[in-house]
Amino acid sequence: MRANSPTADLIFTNRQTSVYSATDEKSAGLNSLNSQIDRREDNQSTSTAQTDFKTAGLTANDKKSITFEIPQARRHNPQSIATFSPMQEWEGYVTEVKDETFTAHLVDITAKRRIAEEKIEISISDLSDQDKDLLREGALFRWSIGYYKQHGTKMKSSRIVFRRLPAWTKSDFMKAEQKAKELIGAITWE
Amino acid sequence: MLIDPDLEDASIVLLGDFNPSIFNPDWFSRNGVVGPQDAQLGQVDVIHPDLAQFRISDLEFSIDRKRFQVLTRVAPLIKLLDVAMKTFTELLPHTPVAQFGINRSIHFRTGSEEVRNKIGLTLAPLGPWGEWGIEIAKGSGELRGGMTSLSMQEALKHGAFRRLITATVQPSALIPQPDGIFVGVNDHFERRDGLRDSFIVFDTLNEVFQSSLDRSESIIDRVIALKDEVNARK
Repeated sequence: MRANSPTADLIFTNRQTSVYSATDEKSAGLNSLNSQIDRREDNQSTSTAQTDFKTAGLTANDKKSITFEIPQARRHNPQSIATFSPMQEWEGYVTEVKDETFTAHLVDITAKRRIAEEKIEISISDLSDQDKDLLREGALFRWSIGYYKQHGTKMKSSRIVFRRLPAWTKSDFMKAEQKAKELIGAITWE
Repeated sequence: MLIDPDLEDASIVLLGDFNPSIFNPDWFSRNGVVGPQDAQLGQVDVIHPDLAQFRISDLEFSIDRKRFQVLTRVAPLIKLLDVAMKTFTELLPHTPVAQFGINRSIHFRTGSEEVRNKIGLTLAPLGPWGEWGIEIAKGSGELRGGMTSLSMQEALKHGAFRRLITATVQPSALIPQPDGIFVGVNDHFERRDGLRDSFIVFDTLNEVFQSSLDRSESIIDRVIALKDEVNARK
């Protein structure tokens, strides 16, 4: 790359159109990206890429494969999009439920821990009504602390969400049993 | 992540055969996938035999006959996994699904258009484009050119799957100021034998979900770090 090149001001621009922008879908950029997309088997992709507000998150791929007119979805002002970015997140499992509080052990997800190293008591009134219905010993939840942003404002916030996990299946029990056998088999008694 | 991004989202995309018309906020609530209050406040864009699009709380659903997508911009992201697992292992276990993707993307501001341009030049220098690169460099204003999208892909074998991790960097189409960058990572899994055994698909999705997000965020962090690197070169 040339130092002090005049190109330094030109390389990255919003004025160019891409399949992800809502302005011009007939650009050369569309053709180049489509050729790449076409390499995928069955013309399918699991990518979401940048949201195209004309098509509510559908990619160029979808636009090609669906033949009817896609209804116009809501247009968003980017600042109106609410985001909550966690600075810290724990997975908790409930160990005891009292009248007004519950106790839980916490695994630090942010620090990529695998076992619980912290214990906490949380007020039940901090939970939403629908999460109160899920509160019982052994229930799993995520506790996130981070920034909630919308309409240009940023607010530090804490959020507890109880997990809605699938019911255990026979195959889950069989896998757990197999895993337990492997663990027992790996123990060396002295 | 290195920074608190301006906008972000994560999603799970499943490719297979779906019946869009059965999915709606009430169905998810009745089956315990989402809370009843969240479902009551759900917003439906369209429910049609070919397409269903609706929102339940911070979850955005988009389902057509070949594709099921659930997206959120609000942590904890694990709820995406819980929705997919409960829906397709407990409620609809016979749905044929052959491929899945875990997506993570952010939009962040670099502080100035100059810094953004330098990041673009770092990733895609104009020199190798020769004479055309020089012509591109001459543009300005409405005729300004440059890098519009760059993708980098890693291909791996993961058990029964071919795994393609694709990172894409583009100017942000959502941040109105001219200093925004979009970084998206698509972690795509497809059966190498073409079979559509949803049991293995969801077993693998469950196994890799968190580590996939961690890896995607480390890739995103690398692009974010370019901001400090180009600033240090000033």
